[in-house]
Amino acid sequence: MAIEYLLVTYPDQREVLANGERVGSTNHTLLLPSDEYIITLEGEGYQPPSQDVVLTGTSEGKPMVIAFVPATKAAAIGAKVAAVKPKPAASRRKAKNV
Amino acid sequence: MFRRLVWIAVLFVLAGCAATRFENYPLAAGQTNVERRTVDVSHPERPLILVAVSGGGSRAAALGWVVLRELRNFRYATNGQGRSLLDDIGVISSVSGGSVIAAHFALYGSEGLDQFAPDFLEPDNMRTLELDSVDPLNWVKLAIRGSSRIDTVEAMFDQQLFKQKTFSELNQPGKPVLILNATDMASGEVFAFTPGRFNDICSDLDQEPISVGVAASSAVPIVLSPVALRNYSATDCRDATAPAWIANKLEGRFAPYVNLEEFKLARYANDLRHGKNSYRAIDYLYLLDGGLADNLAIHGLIETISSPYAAQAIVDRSSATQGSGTILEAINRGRVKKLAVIVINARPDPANTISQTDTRPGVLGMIKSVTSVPIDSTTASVSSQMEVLLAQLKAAGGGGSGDPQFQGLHIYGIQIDFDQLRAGDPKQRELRDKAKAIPTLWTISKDHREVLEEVGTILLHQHPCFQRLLIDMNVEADFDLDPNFAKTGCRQATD
Repeated sequence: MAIEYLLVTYPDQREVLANGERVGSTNHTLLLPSDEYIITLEGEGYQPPSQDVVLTGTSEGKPMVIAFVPATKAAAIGAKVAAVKPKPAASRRKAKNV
Repeated sequence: MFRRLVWIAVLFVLAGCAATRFENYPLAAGQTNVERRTVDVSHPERPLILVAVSGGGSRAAALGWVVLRELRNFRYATNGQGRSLLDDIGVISSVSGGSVIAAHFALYGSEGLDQFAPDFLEPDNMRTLELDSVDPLNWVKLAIRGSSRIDTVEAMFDQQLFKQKTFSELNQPGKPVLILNATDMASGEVFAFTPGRFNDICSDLDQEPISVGVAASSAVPIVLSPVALRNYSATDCRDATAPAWIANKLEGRFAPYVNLEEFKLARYANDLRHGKNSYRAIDYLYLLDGGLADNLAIHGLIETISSPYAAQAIVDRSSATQGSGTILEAINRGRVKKLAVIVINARPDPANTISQTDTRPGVLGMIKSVTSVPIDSTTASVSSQMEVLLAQLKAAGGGGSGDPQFQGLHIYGIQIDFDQLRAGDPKQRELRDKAKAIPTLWTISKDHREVLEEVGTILLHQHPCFQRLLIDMNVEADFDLDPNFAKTGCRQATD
């Protein structure tokens, strides 16, 4: 069992939960034993709802960094992505044959 | 001595035929064991001290008592008030003989230390046990009540120390977190008398006599019978919700590969709860001496320091964050800046003539090796796990990227071991040989107590990390501190 380094970022200070237990705050590197964790934040209004991380191979100079964003921001990003639609598969095949 | 053991063995044979008496009670419907102890970390200038006391009968109890009493002598001023290092003990973990002093300290505190010697170390406890073994009334109890030979030990603890008090008196705000460790005979797992573990078996810890926990921790196999507990989780807590971490661990794809130790802890907890896909069906628990799994009681400390699922007894009254948390969380928030871990090892090591004999050892010699060598080996393995953990935490104290609040963390790993007495110093060599030859019994002579008083004091004072702690905190000492020795032998990442 090794001690690992995890940094969870979020615009505001929130409590970080590892498998449902409070382990510290966002935006400050945290110490945790090497393991697989489901990371969530306390409260609501953030995305994604949880992140499954395998915490291993980190160091004090190179923590694992995961990010959460406010749900409204995530929705806005999602809308932008949906607006840029990929070309349909059929038209791509047609273009190749030309 | 041999005759005493024979008398006690007579009692044991008679106990063999009685039905088993289970020594725990189910939780009431909807009830859980709640962690009520609080360890205040509002003042980061104070150290958080964790103590582990090993097995070894009254030898371990006496050595633990000497070290605790010595910590009481070192005082400092904080927040306008005087305080001793003893007041900073937040967690105490123990096995076997160490559990006697650990439970006594957790229950009676600093003032109780003055009463421990007359109540336990001075009386001839082996004589008490011997008298019980030849008392016909005891034979009747064995036959009718289903009592067993461990009951005589429990009765001795109650009569002399704990007076039928239960864990409800230990699980109170301001009390240190006490971890009494026994060994589950079926699986070899550490079974600690804690609120969390008793939730796993749906049993009411508040009703449990302290003497049962100490006896379970000290139940030497064969000589004593195991403490028997019933697992009520399948009958009285069928609808209880298990902590989320257990299911997360067991269902995690990588958990068994990245942290197998934690995975096995989750599996054991799941088995106790009769959870989904249980590995073992555990309806009854038979608990033996905690030293079989870990004779230094370090497992409890490692889990308490590093696990996110440890006892949530740490409170920070200066913080806006409500509720209590774990030591790891407190370290991550920068509320613990000095963490001292004192491991008191009373391991005997009497001169063994096997290596000087040209005759092959017989059955008795092999039995002794088979029992002591694996215990020593397991203990050494757990001890190195603790060393690695403390080294990693010490390195983390140097800081790093991501604005860690644990930067500046100082770690003081203080292991007290008879082997640290200097062989080159004739007086210390003599004390070492005397200490290692003290037998493992429930009686300790005045001469042996005096040896341990001297040994415990010397070992604590001459440890570089203890001296470093005193220097870092500006605590006055009644002996000469050596700053160069302390800084070299207990270097910190911020040096």
